[in-house]
Amino acid sequence: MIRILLLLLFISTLAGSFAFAKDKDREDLEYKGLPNWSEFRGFVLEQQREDERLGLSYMISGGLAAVGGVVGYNLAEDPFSRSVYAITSTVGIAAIGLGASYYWTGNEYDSFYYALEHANISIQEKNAILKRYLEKERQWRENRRWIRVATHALIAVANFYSAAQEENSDVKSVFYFLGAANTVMAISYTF
Amino acid sequence: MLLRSFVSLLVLILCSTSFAGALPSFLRDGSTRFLYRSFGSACYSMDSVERGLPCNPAFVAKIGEQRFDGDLFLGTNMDYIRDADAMVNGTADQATVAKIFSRRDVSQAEASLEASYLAHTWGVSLEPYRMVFYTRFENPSLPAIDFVAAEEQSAKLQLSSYVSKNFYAGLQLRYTHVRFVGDYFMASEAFAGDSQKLFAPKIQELLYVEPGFVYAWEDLVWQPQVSAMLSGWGMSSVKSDQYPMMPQGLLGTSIKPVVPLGLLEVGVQLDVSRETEYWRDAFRAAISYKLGILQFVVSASDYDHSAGFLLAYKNLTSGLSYWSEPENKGVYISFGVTL
Repeated sequence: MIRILLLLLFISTLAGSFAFAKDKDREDLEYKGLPNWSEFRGFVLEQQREDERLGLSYMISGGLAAVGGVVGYNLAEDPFSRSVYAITSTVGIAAIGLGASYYWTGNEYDSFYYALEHANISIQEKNAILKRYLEKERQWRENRRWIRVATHALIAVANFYSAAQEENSDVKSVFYFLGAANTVMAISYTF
Repeated sequence: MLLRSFVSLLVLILCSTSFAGALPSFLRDGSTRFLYRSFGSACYSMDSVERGLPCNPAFVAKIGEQRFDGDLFLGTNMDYIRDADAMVNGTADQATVAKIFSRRDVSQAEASLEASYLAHTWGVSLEPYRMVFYTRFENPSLPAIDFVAAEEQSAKLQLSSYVSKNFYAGLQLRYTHVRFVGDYFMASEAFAGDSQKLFAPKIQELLYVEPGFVYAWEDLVWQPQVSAMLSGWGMSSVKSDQYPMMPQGLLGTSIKPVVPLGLLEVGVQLDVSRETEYWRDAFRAAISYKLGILQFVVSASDYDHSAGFLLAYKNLTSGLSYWSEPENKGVYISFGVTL
């Protein structure tokens, strides 16, 4: 019974994570420099090269995963391996698409950079617009961070409440685990 | 100086004895399960695979990032896990006992659920459920059985800091509560009238204090690093053959050769404990290569070898690892989420 519940807990945590789905490799993409156009240009151009490299990595590894997953699925005998190979093949195809997206479409800074780089305005005006853009972007990141804190804190409270109400000790420990995991996640987003 | 102190410590701690009945060290190790199954002891000196807490706590400060990981780890022989669970919780009947001991081979099974959070200078991990099963038969004509079925709950705290130029130090506090059934006995005893005594569950509390160090030349092209760790050192509520307090001295090195695309890491590890009979048993080598969503891992020692891969796409991760030794082999899978 406890194992089934723990498995359900894991799956629910997994499903919950989709709410904040992001790409691990792109999570930290944030310009942290000064509102200086030439510095920002250097960052964007470097990031474009990084996007091409990342896109290429995803397309190659996605292709390997797609082909290797099919081959492994047909060679494997136990259901454990077969299930992982099936997932690998499917994810591989998705990764090819994601890699192509990185390679050819870049990131969210590209459009802003393109619009201002080719605009017929002075460097001082570009710096001023960049300053306002970065202020808005930081505000957006800050809001998103606190929404995550609140969401995980509420889930933790709900689980601790359920644990307090539950009489079955096995189920109670599952709720406590969920509550503790979400508390840790909420705290982690406050830093 | 560091190396000399470490070797002196090893000489003081280690002596030569045999350990019939002890759970094998690869099942007693407290590292993140998939990492240890893929790398073996080489995980103590390599940091290119990011899953759960690092094996060596000194890497926490070197990695210096925040991450939450939840991992489900399962091995083959899941039906053995069900039997082991029945044994540990006292619900096994005579038919279950007969089924377990009718398998005249070396068998093992493992399942675990773990959540961990890594910050810049510390990390914490909870493993609310881990089930382990291990049997080994000796002397087929008059079989003797080494048998352990255990349910564990563990918590780990890692603290780490930058000490001086290129040098990081860390400390891991690991607490494990284990409820287990296990003994070394003749097969005929398992079916005798007083077999209940053999299968009486025992409870053991273990607290480990495990220091680790890393010296990393991060500014060099191949980023070489040397690591040292004392693992499995601590105290236990009771003394048992199955969960002995057996410190391990680990000394390793790794490099990251530059490749056109992806991240390659090659590592070598020296792992010495009282179980180590020959020097060649103490060495292990591992290679890891990460490209996009895939990370391949191969590791080998004179005794066993493993090969596996980790697939990481957005927040989700799945892994598959094959492990084999002369008497036994297994397939291990891992499903994880990263926030």
